[in-house]
Amino acid sequence: LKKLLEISLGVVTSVGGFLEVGSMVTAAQAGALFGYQLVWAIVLGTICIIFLVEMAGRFAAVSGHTIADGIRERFGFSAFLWPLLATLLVNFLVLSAEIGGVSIAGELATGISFQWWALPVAFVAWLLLWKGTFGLIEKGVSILGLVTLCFVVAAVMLKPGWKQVAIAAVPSLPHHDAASYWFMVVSILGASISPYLFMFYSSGAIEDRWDESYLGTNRAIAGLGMTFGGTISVSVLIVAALVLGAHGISQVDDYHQLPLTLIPIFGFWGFVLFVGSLGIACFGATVEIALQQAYLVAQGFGWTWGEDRKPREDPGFSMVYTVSIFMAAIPIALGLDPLKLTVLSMALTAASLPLAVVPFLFLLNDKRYVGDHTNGVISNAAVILIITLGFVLAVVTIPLQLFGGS
Amino acid sequence: VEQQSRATASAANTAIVLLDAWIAGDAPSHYAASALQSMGETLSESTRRLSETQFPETGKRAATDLAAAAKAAETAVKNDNRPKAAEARDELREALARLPAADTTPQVPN
Repeated sequence: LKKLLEISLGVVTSVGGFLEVGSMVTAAQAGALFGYQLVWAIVLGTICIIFLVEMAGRFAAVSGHTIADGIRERFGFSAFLWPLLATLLVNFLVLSAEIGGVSIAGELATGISFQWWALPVAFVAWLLLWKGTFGLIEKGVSILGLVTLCFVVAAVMLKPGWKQVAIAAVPSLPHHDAASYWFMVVSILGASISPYLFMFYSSGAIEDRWDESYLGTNRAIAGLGMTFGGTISVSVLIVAALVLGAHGISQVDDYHQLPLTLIPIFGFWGFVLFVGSLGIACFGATVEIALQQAYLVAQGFGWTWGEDRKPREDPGFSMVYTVSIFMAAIPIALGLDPLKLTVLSMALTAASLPLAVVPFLFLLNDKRYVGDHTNGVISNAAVILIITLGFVLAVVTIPLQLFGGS
Repeated sequence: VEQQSRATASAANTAIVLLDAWIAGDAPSHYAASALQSMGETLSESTRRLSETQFPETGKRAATDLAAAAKAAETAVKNDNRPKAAEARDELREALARLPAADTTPQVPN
């Protein structure tokens, strides 16, 4: 019964924490311009993240190491430096975009410009990290994030052609705007396969003291949690297709357009639900990414780390999330458009994937770390596929950003 | 030109949906006014860009009228004047109908 409760809580946490500004914006843009056609990109991204999260959790539970820890120990610090720098940079942009997302929610709710919200949002997130525990951050914020399920309710209420949605889960070529189509594919994959997500998950497994008895729990959380999370992203796409697209709003390049996804369905409550969803989802991601920056650096340099420790017990760890969170707020406070930053950061996330994923192939096949729980044929095939996909994305991202990005 | 025309149509449609929502009381005034201001700026920029192209004159006039109607809508919302907002929405619809290649509604298979 205890395990079942843990699985349920883990799944709820994954679902509530899945949607953030990147997945919301990319799915809305895709649905508005291409209808259901890009459902396949979300499905592909979700399958990839299921495999990576399962492996990250398995690695942590069996070896007692996080992924970052494992990379440094297995390959040495100099080899670890490049993935570290790339991931820190990409995470910084995503963190900034998430702070931008909460700030936009603040502007929509009050009319006070988003720039003014950036530093207060950073302060509240920092305070939560400084005073809070890992359990509060992981579960508290994610459970509030269940408000994003309103997109699933909206999608069901709109009665989409489910057969067409299912057909769109199979990749297809664009009928128009080819460069935009492929740029959106890259952005959706970047939003779905975020390195911070699986790295945070492995750090969380260590924080929660997982051992081999958690392997089944890990598999269930990775499979069910990410699948339900992906369902929310698909729902955003469906709603955008049937509301924005159907009203001739084909180009979502202004954040003011986003609440219109829910207003025609729920009326004024649609506006409230959208603002709540955006604010809570992005705030949760802000806290998690800031924490992930601290995990990365602390694990990379072998410092003491742990969100459940007092800041004076791990000063380096606490300093990293403090500096990260306030620095990431600066571009938004200076007026950088959060929507444009989101799209750019999702594309760069996709481009950075090979650096973050290649080590999986070695770590998850190294018996010194995972004993008898090495990857099977399917998991290895999945990692190779993701690495190949990552290299393709790394090569095409910049040209697509130039020709298809907004 | 085609892409600019579609961006114009998309911004105009956004303004229309916004006005529908505001008139029905489904969108708060501060949000509607801010969004309409933003759409008005997009439409003004589109008008300027289209004026530098070989776009048909009727289309250029339609784009100018769309920018003016969005501005009128923003003023109406700021003044809490629903009849004027409805008028501006009708002007947006009328001008949009004159914009060549304005129908960009994706073929949602339903």
